[in-house]
Amino acid sequence: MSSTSEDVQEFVDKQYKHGFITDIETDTIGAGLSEDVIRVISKKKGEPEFMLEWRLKAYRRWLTMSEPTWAQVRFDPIDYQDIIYYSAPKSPGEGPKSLDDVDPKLLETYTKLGIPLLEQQMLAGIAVDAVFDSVSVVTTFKEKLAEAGVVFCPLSEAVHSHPELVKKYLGSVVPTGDNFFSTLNSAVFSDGSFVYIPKGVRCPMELSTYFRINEAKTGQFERTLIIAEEGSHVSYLEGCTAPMRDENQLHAAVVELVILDNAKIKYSTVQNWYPGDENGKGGIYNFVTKRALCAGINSKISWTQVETGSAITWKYPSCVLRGENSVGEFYSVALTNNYQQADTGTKMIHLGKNTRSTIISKGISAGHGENSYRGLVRIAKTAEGARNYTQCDSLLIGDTCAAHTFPYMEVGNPSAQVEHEATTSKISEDQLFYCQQRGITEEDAVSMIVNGFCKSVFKELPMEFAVEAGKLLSVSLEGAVG
Amino acid sequence: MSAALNQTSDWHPQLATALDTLPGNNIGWLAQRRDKALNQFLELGFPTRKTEAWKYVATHSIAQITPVLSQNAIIDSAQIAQWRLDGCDELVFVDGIYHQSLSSVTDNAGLEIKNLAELLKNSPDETKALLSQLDHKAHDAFDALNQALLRDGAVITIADDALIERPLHCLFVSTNTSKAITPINNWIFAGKNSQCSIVETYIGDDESNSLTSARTNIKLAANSELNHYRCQRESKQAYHLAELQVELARDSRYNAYPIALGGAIARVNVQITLAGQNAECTVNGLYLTKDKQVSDHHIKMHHAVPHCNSNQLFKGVMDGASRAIFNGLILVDKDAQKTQADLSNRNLLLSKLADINTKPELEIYADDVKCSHGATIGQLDEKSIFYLQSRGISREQAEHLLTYAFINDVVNRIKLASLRQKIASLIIGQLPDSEFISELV
Repeated sequence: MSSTSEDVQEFVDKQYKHGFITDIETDTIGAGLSEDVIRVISKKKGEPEFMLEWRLKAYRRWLTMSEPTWAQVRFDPIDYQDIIYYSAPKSPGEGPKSLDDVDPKLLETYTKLGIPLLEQQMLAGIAVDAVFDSVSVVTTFKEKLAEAGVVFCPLSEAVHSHPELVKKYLGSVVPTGDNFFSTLNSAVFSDGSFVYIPKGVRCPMELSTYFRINEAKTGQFERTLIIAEEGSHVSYLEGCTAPMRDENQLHAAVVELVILDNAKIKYSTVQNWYPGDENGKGGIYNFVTKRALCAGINSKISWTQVETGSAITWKYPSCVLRGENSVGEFYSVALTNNYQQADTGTKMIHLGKNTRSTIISKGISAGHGENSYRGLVRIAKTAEGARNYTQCDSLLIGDTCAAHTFPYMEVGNPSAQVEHEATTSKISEDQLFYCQQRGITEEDAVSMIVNGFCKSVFKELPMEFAVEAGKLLSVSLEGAVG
Repeated sequence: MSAALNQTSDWHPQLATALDTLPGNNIGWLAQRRDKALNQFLELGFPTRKTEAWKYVATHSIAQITPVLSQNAIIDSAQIAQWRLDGCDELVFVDGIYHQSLSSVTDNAGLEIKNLAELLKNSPDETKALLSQLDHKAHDAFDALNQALLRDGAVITIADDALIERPLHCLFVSTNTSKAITPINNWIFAGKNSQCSIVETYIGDDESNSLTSARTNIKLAANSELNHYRCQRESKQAYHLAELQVELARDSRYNAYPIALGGAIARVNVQITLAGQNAECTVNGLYLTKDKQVSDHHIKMHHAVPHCNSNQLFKGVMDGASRAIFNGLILVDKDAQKTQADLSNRNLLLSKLADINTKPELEIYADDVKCSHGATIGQLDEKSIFYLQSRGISREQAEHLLTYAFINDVVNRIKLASLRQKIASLIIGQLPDSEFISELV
């Protein structure tokens, strides 16, 4: 092992690859939160009256709430008055009409990040709704989507163009007072994506949003709303990187999915925000509320997530299976290295008859990382013939990390079948020895074994993401072995 | 929270009076110790739904108990004849108080048996040494209450190198019908290289409705082995709140069989600490609930040192409008490398009104470990039912037979034959078609 120590040191010292700051003017309001700040945010975004009321209601509710403490994570208290709640990149004129109108520096940032915004995009067949800080700047492929009748736009735009849909569905899955962070999000959310797939439409391309936190000390409060009408189908991709920062940045996003009869949504996430340095300094606090409502019969939601970044991850993509025969799936890989902490899992709420759910969760802890799976499977009295299968495995690398499993199972119907399995182990010496004996270096062997461990999740990812995820995993594990 | 505080303080005047009547309360330090525990009880307040460990249990009915101590009742030997175990030494406690006339202890070299009330009254020094073995902070109000009301129980010491062939049966009978509290505190010390089997049975008359607050503390010295059976069949109106704290030294082996059949609300809180290398622990548990029963198991298996094994199996069958709660935590400390720990929880839900809430947990801070847990909730296999039906057995009978087969998996693991038969006939007797099943089993 000592022979590789130099390489290891090199890896350990390796800087976060996406850590750079784009120097552009931003239109920022001062730090702090009050009703006035919310009024300003709402006014700046030119929102209709109902939105302002909605935000204020959430804010008043938030004031009565306190931060949750049950998660297996530790962090210094957050000063909510020291956060800037709105920041939008300044562009000449009233907003860009085409790519030429976009701040060239912004485009440069995207290039550095490797987002193919133009031709590459056509080839990739992905429409990117790029979120740079809080305002969506460019939306491509709109025409092609419009042809199919799909609405894919920033939420701030949808408020004007489709107010009836926003009014009907916003907060219908994650109510304003749901939890501390989602309520905060409801009060101050900056922007996000809005997707509407009309009846019977199969979305012609995979939709993708690239989030990126840029302005220092800016809490990013995204809000995503996706509505899949009867018989429709959409695959949505979300990926994240963030520049290097010393201070912790708060990210409290809300994602709401509504799935009607026979519709299907596939939601994939690769999260690689700045995890802090090797001493656990800095990094993003990722406190996200994601929930899907399978409202119709035979509806289906599939969550896939690869969580490698963030100092703290607090995230439980959930499925409310209300429609008969609806299906919920959750595939997750969570990796914690250095001083990262992740408390993540899912909730499967079975309400309808013959609802089925599958949970596959793979946790990897290395360094001083702490990884928890926290999940709930609830079978209501009404959920006749419900079925759940849960498997959560943890892999430990190094003797200073920790892995925990907290699965709750609440079953109230005798026809339900619920299974849960969990294991925790390390990469065995035998496996490593076998690989090394065949000329594979220790690092490669570990990477190979880890990738194999995660395979059942990676295969659920769309092609482009699967490649990226595999790579991301090996980069994130660099320095953990040896 | 303040409401909860009020509730425990409602009990204060009566409890304070009760404390004065306890054995040894004229001894200063003992009275102080009880007072301290009583204050803890008042401070903690009754657990509510917001208390994670009590999330699924409504405690308000327990709070309806009259906070006085159950008094010594007179019963005759015939009343408990059916509960006696053949081939065992027997200690009988009625409403928490030792009855020598009902007990039968043969002269068993290597086994020293005392009753706690005697010690508290007459041997303060020995009591002090005994109590100093347990310096724990009460984790909830009921635990504190048990410490405040320290009254009687069995203190069992197995000498070093003693192989006790005759099992010891501690029979606790509840007869109280005035909703009083019955505190019980037992101690078991297994000496080096010793072997022993101990049975604790908690039974209740059909009318009894008291709150039994039972705590058993067990310490296993190096290379000792203890088979510990804990059977609870209190009445359907009684409350049973139990604590079991076990510590294992190097190379020791502890086999526990917690079996819960009765009680309106029955809770067993088990904490097992593997504190010496190469210690081994197996737990085979069973809980059956029906009507409006609530049965709650909280198990914490704490691996504090390397090279220990633990293996747990819990099975539950829920019928009627009953509820079962299972929480099994495997905690592996940072230094506890080479740990092997398994936990399996299997539940059979028979009725639409019943629920099961299970939460197997892993909390692991070491890396070279093999830990796993599994939980299943389901119903009887249709194919098996069909198979039996095709052999001319009615559907109902087939269902009952398969239910018993599910339970029998745990019952069969009971090594003590007389107890195994007793438990089997008790469970079969509760099932419909009992004659049919006992014919086949």
